[in-house]
Amino acid sequence: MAQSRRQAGPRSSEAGSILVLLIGLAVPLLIMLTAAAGTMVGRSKTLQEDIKLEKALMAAESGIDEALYRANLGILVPGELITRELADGMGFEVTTVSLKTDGVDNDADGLTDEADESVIMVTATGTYAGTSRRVNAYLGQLPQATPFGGAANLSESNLQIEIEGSSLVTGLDTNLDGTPGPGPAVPGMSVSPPGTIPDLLGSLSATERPKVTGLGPAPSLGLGSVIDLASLARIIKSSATQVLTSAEYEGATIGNALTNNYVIAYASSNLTLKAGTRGAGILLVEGNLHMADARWDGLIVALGSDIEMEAGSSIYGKIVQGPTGQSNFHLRGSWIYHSSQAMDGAFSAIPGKYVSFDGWHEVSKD
Amino acid sequence: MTHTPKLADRLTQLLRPALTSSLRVRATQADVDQLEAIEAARLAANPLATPNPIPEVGDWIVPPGPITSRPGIRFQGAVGPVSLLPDATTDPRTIERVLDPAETANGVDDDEDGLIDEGTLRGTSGATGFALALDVEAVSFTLNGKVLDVEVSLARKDQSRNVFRSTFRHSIWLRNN
Repeated sequence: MAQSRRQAGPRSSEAGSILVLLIGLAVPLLIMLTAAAGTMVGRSKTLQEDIKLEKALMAAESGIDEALYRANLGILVPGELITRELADGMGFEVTTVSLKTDGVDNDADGLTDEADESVIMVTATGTYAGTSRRVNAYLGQLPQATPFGGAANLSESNLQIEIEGSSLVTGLDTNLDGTPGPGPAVPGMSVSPPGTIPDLLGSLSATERPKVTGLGPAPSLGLGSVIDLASLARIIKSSATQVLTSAEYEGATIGNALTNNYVIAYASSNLTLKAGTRGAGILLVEGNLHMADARWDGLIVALGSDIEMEAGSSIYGKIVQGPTGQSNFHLRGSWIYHSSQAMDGAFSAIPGKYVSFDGWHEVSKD
Repeated sequence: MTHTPKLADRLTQLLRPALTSSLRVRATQADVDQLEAIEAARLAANPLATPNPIPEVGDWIVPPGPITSRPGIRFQGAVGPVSLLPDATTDPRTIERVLDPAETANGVDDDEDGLIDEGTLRGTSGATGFALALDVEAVSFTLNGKVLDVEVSLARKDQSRNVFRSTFRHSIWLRNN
């Protein structure tokens, strides 16, 4: 036993070699571990910085929201400094400037502090854990209520109108379920200057005139007021709750009057609503509008030259066509009903006194 | 390898002030066919209607359907002190993958470098171009309401020609209508 133990023991010349080997292995391992740990710490630090910056931005957003809330209550005072500490160490500081009284030509149109500069610029600085981010937004006042004239209001003297088949344009107040509404009748069709009633009458054939009913005998025609469509379009665009980014919607639901879900929808180009698409609220189309088997409850403002409705399409509310040089208005088996019920519902979707303009942009990040 | 948090930050910086309504995508043949059908239906409904121009493949368009898995996007953003004017926007900006010269988008490693359909994720602002990420094998943009989902597939090979791939997804809330 003792002999075998002697045989298994290391020779004196090899004493300590295992320790050297272990150290030789451990040193590179330690270097690798240190490098890996350093990388992980670096990544973790970057991630933490990103989180801090994102939280600072969230705080700045809260500042914009508070300014908008105050503006709607009428207690936002331009020049006032608003500061607030939020949970988790976040905070914001908001400054407001009325562009109407700052003595600057803010919109670069050569005029200083004119009516359309009635806008409040909000700058919110959000802070969190030593980081800060600053964003700007603009709050604009809503315009006064606009009378829209007839159930269909056009804005041109150069009119091409076709009302085919069973189509009808009526200014008689109609509820969403088709029953007579309580409101007064308005003209079936109206035209805003530079268009005139003779222009409108001259564009209707003898067979089309009985299909325009409403206030007075058929054809029920009226002169619409001058509508500031540019301001209206700006408000609708800025406060839109749904931006329609497709050229065509098929079988879509864009709001629902039956559930009192009225939306503000905006399309920046030509738009087709078809195949059972239903919508409710205010719709701004900066292009041509084509409806086929579609229904809209509320107000449509279409700024393109062409409006086509076919295949049982209907509008309960009003449609306003913008000035485009020429108006092509074509109904085939479709109906437009003036509906105070739909209009009231649609305008309930508009926010309070102010809307935030399309001006959100980040100013700085520290 | 492109540092993905930095790429996410750059994409956010570019896209967050974008106007949702200004989003455009490059027309595919399917888009063109669908837009032709829409236009034909419109003109059939109203022979007096003003014909709309039909785009060509590759043109920037409002797509006929939802923005789903598109390889590139064009947009405009709000501009500084005159942003109270909704019409005052930046020049059109684009973000899309530009294939490396020897590659075509065919799912094949044409240049035999181990990477498939790779290119540069490239941005433009007006006439100025800039690279956002290199060795990008795929990119897609999908819009859900006002949230733009961006998916970027990156690849890189080491000295032994081992290819490492990663896909990074980032969602950006577009602030302006």
